[in-house]
Amino acid sequence: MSDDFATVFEAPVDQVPDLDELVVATMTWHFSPSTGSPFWTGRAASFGFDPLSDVKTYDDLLECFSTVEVDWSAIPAHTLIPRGSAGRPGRFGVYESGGTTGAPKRIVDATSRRRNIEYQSMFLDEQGFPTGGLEAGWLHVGPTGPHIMAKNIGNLTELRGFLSYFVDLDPRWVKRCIATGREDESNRYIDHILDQVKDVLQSQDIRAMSSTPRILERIVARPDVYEPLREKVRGIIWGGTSVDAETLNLLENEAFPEATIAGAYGNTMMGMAPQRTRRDGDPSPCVFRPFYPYTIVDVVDPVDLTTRVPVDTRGVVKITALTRDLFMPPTVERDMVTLRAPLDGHPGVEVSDVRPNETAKETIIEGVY
Amino acid sequence: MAVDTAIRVPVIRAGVAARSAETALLRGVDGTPLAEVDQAPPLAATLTVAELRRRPLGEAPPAETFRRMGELFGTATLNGLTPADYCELQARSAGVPISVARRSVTDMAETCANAPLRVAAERPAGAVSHVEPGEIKAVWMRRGETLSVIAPSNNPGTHTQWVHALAYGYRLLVRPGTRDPFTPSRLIAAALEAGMEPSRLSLLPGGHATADALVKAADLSLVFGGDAAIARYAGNPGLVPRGPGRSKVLHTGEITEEALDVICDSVAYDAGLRCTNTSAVFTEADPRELGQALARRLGALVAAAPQTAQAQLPVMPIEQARAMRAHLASRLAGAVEATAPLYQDGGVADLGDGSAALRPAVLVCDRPGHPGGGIELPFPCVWVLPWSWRDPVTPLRNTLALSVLGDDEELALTLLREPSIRKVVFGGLPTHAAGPTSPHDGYLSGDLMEVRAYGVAGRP
Repeated sequence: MSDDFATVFEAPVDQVPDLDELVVATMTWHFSPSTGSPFWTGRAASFGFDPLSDVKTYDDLLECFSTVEVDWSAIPAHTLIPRGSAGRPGRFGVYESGGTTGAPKRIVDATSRRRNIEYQSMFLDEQGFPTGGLEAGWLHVGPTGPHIMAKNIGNLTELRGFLSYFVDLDPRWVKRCIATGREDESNRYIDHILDQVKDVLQSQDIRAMSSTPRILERIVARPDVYEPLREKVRGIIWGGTSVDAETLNLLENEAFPEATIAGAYGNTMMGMAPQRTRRDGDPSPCVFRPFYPYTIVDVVDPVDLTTRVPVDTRGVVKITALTRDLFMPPTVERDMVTLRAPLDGHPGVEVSDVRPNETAKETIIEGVY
Repeated sequence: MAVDTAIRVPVIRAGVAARSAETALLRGVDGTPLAEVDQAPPLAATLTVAELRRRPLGEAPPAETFRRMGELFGTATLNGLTPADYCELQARSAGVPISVARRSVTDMAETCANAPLRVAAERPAGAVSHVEPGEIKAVWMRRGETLSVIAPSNNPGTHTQWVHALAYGYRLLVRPGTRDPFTPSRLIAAALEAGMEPSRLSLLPGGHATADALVKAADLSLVFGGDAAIARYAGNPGLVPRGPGRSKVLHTGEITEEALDVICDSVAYDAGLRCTNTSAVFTEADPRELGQALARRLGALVAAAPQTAQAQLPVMPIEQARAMRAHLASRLAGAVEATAPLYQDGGVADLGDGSAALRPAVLVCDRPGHPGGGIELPFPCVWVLPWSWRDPVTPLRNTLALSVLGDDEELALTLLREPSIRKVVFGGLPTHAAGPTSPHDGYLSGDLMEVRAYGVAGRP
């Protein structure tokens, strides 16, 4: 079912609509009384501007929404669903952020994120990532439950012709174990997950998988899981947490030399930025390309959050979501990245070297060592 | 990242040097870039141990290899560094006075050459090296094949411990201390140059996560660290812990020049950075009087840049030195610093180049149970506490090295019977004194080796 906005909201994923047209469509859709969500139309009453008439460009949006704060962890999720979505295809679901650094944030999505996954799959095709022929299995070892990851993997495996298998990992529990110094408990939990991976591998035809770098490393450390996996798997997607260049090098060339390995940088709030296919002379072994313009990533100075950093400089990400199902005004997230110059005249940004923005604290250790 | 240093410390995996996509710039204590250190992430540790498991492990290297290894360490140009280059780098990076590295260059030859002799001394008397047909006997075997070493940066001599493990026949994977990758890198280069089988030697510079992966993957692990680091691996069945030494002197009798000599040597030898350096003195005399006498002597130690010959104290980036002193201040619990009046500008000696030396501290306590008796800090820092015959043993527990001063050998032997005191020296020896085959904290073979039985049927 198309409407006036279909040419921007539902443009083919290999084409890039005009950013300002998308901004206007997003404002009109999410803030008009007839189509907007109860949350946004309600909030607009207290804005000092009118999103329908004052926000015509991305710069307007940055300017106007700079003082709009949204606590995504406290919004009743049903109020985020645009009224205009009634009768449109797709069923809305509620998805939560990792929730490892505070109360989980919630978003809603029906079909917008599937387009992001189509975009990701397009890059996987380019990279020679396997397809499943409708019989082979894809094993996801990572967050499912409230996280959008399970839905993303479900969409990706469907697009690529795999059956999906899941081993669930609760990142909040792992984080809590580590935060309270119970590393032995988190180790037991990881082993419990690896036991389940082993069980799937024993009887199922697994040819591709997705997981976090940390889990992949732990798999390599368990010969009973690693050996059958290395033998069977020809495609691996890593994401969820950062990875250093040397670990990536070892994963690709030593741990899983037979597999095509692709990175994915994303989270519940920003969607998925697939790894852009590697080129000679790339400034980093893994450069991510966000799904522009539906997800806008601005890389800004960590101190002055309104100033964009120059190319090849580190900064924190400021993310804006402009989709049919969800509008998220510019929001600073925790990740530090290096801004890269986009290739091929791509109008969005490319980023690399994603790391959580944490400040190290030195502590005095008693003793001569 | 462009770095104006030509020195690079590569990762070594099973004897083969390799570059890493991740490097860390190692700076001297004064901030000068010294070297680029290739970083081994946890996965490199895991994959290296897995690779080693696929290769058969032969007999321990011959005695000649160790002799040659020590000689090369002391005399050869290794990794492009002469012994003098190595000493300077080690001093500037670790902040340890260069005299320490210079001495270790000479000592290492002896230590390595002596390794096979030490192994022979540690071998249980009943264990044989060859079982004849018709015999069933004890043989001395390794408990595993791979040993990881989570090494510190405090003193080059610490690394001699794992040389012994090589002599037992282990394969070694060393995670160097952040501030001293140079010593293990040089030792490994010397071993390879001496012809040691390459798979026995790996160097994996990295952070906590690398150490964790290494401890998890290796059969056994020799872990140097503070109480928290040791506790981190407490659940690991292969852990061989080397925590703070909390070495002590027990002083009985009068305060004599000889006693002061031994105590000051015990506190400040090698800049006070050894686990066998004394961190507490228990005295039968007046702690205040002894503390003041010690302060007068220790206060004269020279604060200077670590690469200079006159340096006698550890040097750190100045903000770290201040934090260390602030930490000491927070731990006084009523103790009085006898050294304080000697330092017009405080306990941190600003060297003017971004670094500072930590001046000695003598802290006088009013009771034997004062917590200072268990506080070891990485500079000449000694707590002086009262001791009496009413409770002679309790305050001296949990001690790596104990020197008993006075003329009562019965007392020394009584203390030797306390299992948590790992070494007792009597009659005027400093706590760091050691014999060529005396155990440091038990024999390392006590943890790494065991006797098993082997029998061969007699010929008919």
